[in-house]
Amino acid sequence: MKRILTIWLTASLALLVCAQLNIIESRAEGPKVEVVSPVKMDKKAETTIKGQGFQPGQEVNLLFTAKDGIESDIGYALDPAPKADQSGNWSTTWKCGRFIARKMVLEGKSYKIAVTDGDYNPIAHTFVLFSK
Amino acid sequence: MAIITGKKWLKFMCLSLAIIASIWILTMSEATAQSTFPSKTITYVIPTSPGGGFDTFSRMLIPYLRKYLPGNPNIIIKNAPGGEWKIGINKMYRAKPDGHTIGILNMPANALPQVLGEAKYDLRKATWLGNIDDVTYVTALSLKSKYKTLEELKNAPMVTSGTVGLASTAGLGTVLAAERMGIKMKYIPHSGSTEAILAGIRGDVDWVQYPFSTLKKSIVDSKDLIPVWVYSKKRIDQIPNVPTIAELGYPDLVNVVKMLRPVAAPPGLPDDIRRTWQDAFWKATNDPEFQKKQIAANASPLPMKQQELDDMVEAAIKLLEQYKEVILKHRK
Repeated sequence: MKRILTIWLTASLALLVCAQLNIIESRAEGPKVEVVSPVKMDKKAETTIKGQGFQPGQEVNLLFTAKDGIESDIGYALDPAPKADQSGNWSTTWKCGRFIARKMVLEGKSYKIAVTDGDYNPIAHTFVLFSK
Repeated sequence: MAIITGKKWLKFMCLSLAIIASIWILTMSEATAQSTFPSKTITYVIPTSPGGGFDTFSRMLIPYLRKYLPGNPNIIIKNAPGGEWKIGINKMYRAKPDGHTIGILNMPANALPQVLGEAKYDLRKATWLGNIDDVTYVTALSLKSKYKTLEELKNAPMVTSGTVGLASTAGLGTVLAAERMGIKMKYIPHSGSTEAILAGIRGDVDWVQYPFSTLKKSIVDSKDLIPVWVYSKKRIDQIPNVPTIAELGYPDLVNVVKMLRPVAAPPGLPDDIRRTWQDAFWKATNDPEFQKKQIAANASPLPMKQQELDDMVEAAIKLLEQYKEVILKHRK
């Protein structure tokens, strides 16, 4: 009995340690997102956003923080909806002209784009520059 | 593998059990936290694109909602434009009623699909949380229009109006006001209020009818359009010479051509969460700093409580039922 309990506890601890190491590792080499190029201050502007290192088939939300500091889900303006392929990569085009037309961003400034899961838990983030 | 014996084994057992117990307690405490409100990011649905009035005033309000909700939760905006508001309203209406999804509406206009039997929602069943403001509309005429007065408009063979569609309060209000005043109107559809107002400035249409805050630039600053009346009980300070529609003999239109910006949650929101929301909403919309920002943006703050909100929804539905035939005629 003592022997069985010892083995069981050792195995449980080993599993827990492995799980923690896995989490730490996945955080260190976790998903990445990038905006391919700066956005021009044009009312019809659009830009490409790319992600890598995601779970295959994973659907994500993109949150944009405008100059007022409020985060908004820009899913309605993305084509296609960001979903990782079998290699964990995705790419989408964001029609962001509305934020420019309505003066919700300033020229020469960078703003945050966060990638989240369905419950808006952050996964990765990057910044997008609005240039002349 | 070496087997641990004696006291060492006991120590190992205790340590292991302590670790497992700690993990279990942490898991349980997280589960307990999730049963309270708010326990995660809140989604605030806006059925229009960013930068319009509904988006702007919602963005203005969100920091104050956070301030008064327990735990200062994160609130993100989810713009869901299209489908004449129905896409966004359905996102809110069909969400899980746990307090983590709310949405802004445009009343009375959003009651129209329901009255016409085209909606998959019943606004009477939504959980109403509060109201942001009361929007005053103004009718303005093009400088290039042949018509300058109400009498001339009533006698005109046809008046053209720049509208966005009947799903908007501006479009709906124009139809109802013209019908009530006996003005023969042709509606010229435009993709947005900016385009419709530009059409008025160019002289492509005679009449535009929009919120004072939207028209202010054209009627007060540049004077590209002539304001002829306002849909309110009292005159607007910035245009004191412009009469109210009540002064012109149509006091009933004050309650017909208006727009409120109420916020709702899905039907079936538990009472404790509803009370938490309504309390936070009331405090946020009465916050002097927030109201100062609203007034600076030419808005008229109008916080509302449960009974007023329920009455407002009922009145909107009854009003549109009264004008259902007129609306159907103009939709053809």
